[in-house]
Amino acid sequence: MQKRRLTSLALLVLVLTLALSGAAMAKVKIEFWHALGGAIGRDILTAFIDEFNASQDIVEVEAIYQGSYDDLLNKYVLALQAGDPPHLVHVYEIGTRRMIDLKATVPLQKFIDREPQVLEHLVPNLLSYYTIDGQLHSMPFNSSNAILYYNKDMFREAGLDPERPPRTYSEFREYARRMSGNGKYGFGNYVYGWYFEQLLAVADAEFVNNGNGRLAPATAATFNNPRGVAILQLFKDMLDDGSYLDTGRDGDALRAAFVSGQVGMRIGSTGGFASTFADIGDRFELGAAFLPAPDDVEWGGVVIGGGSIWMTAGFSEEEEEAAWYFLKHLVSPESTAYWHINTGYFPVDRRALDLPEVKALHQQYPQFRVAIDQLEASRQTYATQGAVIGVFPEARKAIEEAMEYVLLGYMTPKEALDEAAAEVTAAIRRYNIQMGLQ
Amino acid sequence: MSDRAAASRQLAPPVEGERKRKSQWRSLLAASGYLAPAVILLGVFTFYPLFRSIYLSLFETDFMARPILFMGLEQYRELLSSPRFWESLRVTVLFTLYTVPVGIALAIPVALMGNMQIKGITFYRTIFISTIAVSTAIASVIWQWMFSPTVGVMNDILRTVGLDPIRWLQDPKWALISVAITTVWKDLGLNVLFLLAALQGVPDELYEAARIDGARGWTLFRSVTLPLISPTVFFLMVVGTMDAFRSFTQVHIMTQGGPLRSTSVLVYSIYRDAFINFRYGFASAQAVTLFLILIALTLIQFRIGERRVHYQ
Repeated sequence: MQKRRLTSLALLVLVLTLALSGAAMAKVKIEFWHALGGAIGRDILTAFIDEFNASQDIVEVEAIYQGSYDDLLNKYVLALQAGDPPHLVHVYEIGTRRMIDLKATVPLQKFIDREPQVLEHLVPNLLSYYTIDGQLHSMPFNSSNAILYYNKDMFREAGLDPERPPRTYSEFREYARRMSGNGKYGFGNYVYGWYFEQLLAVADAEFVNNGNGRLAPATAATFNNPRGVAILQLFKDMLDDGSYLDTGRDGDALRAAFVSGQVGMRIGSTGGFASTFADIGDRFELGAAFLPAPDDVEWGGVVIGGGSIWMTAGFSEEEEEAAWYFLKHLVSPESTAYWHINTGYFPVDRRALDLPEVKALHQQYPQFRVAIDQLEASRQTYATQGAVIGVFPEARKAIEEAMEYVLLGYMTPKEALDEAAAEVTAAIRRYNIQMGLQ
Repeated sequence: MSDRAAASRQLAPPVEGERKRKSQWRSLLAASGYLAPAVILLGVFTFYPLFRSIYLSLFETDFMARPILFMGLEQYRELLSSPRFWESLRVTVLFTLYTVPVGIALAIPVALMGNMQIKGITFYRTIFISTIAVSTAIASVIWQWMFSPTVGVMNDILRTVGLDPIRWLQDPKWALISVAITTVWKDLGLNVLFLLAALQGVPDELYEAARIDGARGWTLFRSVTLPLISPTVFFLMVVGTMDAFRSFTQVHIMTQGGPLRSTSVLVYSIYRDAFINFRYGFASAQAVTLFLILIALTLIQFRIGERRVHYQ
C-alpha cells in the first residue's frame, strides 16, 4: 500500500515535470535586435512585444535595443563572426545591399512562395523597394518617408493660406522669406543626407547609375546632376535670404526650434509625427504637406525610408518558422495600425486604413494621412524606388559634407557635389571589387 | 649562463640540486599563477587585438573583417599620401594643445584653493572633483545642449552681456574649441584630484623655510610649490596627451567629425573607416600608425620632461 502510494506520487511528479517543461519548451525563443531608441523603442515597441508574447504560446520574442542603425549593423556583423547572431535583425533601408551581400540571411521569398497571401495587401512601393533580383529579402517594418512639417499659425501671421502649402521650389523660397524676420525663420534644416535623397527622388532624379543600382550593380554616383545641384542651391539661396535656420548636424536643436515656433517649416520623417504632435501641444496648429519639387519638373515621388527586418540563416526550421510567425504578426493590419497611430510611421498593410481606430485618427488629424497620400502619389520610377548601393552610409556622409561646404560658403553646390560624387564613385568601385561584383 | 652558476651546479650534491630544482619549479608555478589574471586579461584585450590590427593592416578585408587580399604596406602608403590623414593628425594635435595644457593650467589654481584650510573646504573639493563621476558621453550630451544654436544657454549668456551668438558646433572655426571646452570641463575633476594630492604632499617645513627667507605669494608658488608638484604635472601631461590622442566619444556625440572635418580626430577617422566604410584593413593601418605616434610622443615627453621634473 505504502509502496504503491509512493510510486504513484513519483509518477505524478514525473508527469507534472514533463508537462511543465513541455509547456516551457513549446515556446520557441526568438531574439530580435532593433535600432528604435527613445520612446518608440522603450514604450511603444515593448508594449507591442509584451502583448504579442502574452497572446500566444508558440513564440517568445526577446527584443533588444542595440543602438543606432549604424551601431546595430556593426554589432550584427560581429555577432555573425562570433557565431552568435540574433534570429531577427532590424536594418535601415540603406543597409539593404550590404545585407544581401553579407549572404548571412534567409531571403523571405522562401516563405512568401508558400504563403503569398501575406503580401497581398502590403503597400506596393514597399515591396518594390525591398524586392531585389526578384526576391523579397526582408520584411518592411517601420516605414516612413520625409514630409514637410509646417506651422499653420506662422502661415497665417505671414498672410499665407495655411491650407495651401508650397509645392515648388520658388513658392517654397517665397513662403519662407515671408515668414522670416525678428528671430524667426521660414525654414529650418539640419545637415542630414536622407533629406537630400528624398528631395532628389521628388525631382525624379537618380542617385547612382544603372537604374539606381537596380538594373545592375551601380558603378558611379550621379547625384551631382542638375537636380541635385538645384537642391543645394535652394538651401544656399534661402540661407542668403535669411530665411533658413541651419542647426548644423544637430537634429534635436532643429526639433526644438520648430516645436517652439521659431521655424515655420521643416522637413522631417513621418516616423516622428506623433511625438512632434505631443511636443507641440496646443502651442500652434501643425500642418503636413508633400515635399516641394523644382518648378520645371513633374513631381516624382518619395523613397521609402525606415527599416526592415531580416532573418539570419542557419537556425533550425522550428526557429525559422517561429520567427516567420512573428514577422507575419508584425505586418498584420492590427499591428500596423497600432504602429501608425503611435508613431506616424505609415501602415505597411493597406487594410489598416479601414480599421476604425485609424479612421478615427485620420478624421481628427488629417495630417497623419499625408505620408500615406504622398507615397501613393509617388510615381514608380528608378528614382523613387531608391538607390541600392552597398556604400550608402558612406555616400550619405559624403552628401552631408557637401552640404556643409555649400552652407558655409566654401564651395558652390556644383563643386561640392562633384567632389562628393567622385568620392562615392571611388567607394562604389572599391566595394564592387571587394564583393566580386565587377 | 654565467660560469659561477655552472660551478655551483657542479659543486652541489645531486640530491640537493634535485630539491632546489623542484622548489624553483614550484615558485615559478606560483609566480605564473599570480601573474595569470593580468597576463590573460592583457593578452586577450590588449595584445591580441594589437597583433590582429597589425596583421589586418597588411590586407584588404571584406566587411566581416576577414582578410581577403594581401596588400603589404599598401594601406600605409595610401594613408601617408592621403591629405585627410594629415588633416586628422593636425586636428588631433590641435585638440591636444587645446585640452591638455589648458586643463592642467586651470586645475592648478582650483587645487591651490582646494588646499586651503578653511570651513566647508570638503564641499568645495567635492564640487570640483565631481566631474570624475560624469561619463564623457553624458558630459557631451549636456554640453551639446548648452551649445545648441536654438535653445542653448551659452548663447543666452552671450546675448545677455550684449555679444553676438556663436555657432559653437556649426562653425568650423569654433567646433573644435567647443569640443575642447567640454573635454577640459570633464577632465578638470581628475586633474584637480591628482594636483590636490600632490599639494598635500608638500611638507609645511619647506614653506616655513622659504617664508623665513622672504618668499611670498608668486615666488613661493614658483620656487617651492611648482617644483614639488612637477612630477604630478608631468604625469598629467603624459596621461592627458595619450587620452587626448585617443578621444572619440565627445566627437562622436557632438559633431560626428564635422563641420567640414574640423573635429575629425584620428580615432574618429578610424571609427569612420572601420565601422561606416567597412575598410578594416585601412582602419587598422591608421590604428597602428596612431599607436606608433603615441609611443614616439611618450618617449619624447620622457626625454624632455624628465629633465625638468623635480623628484623628491
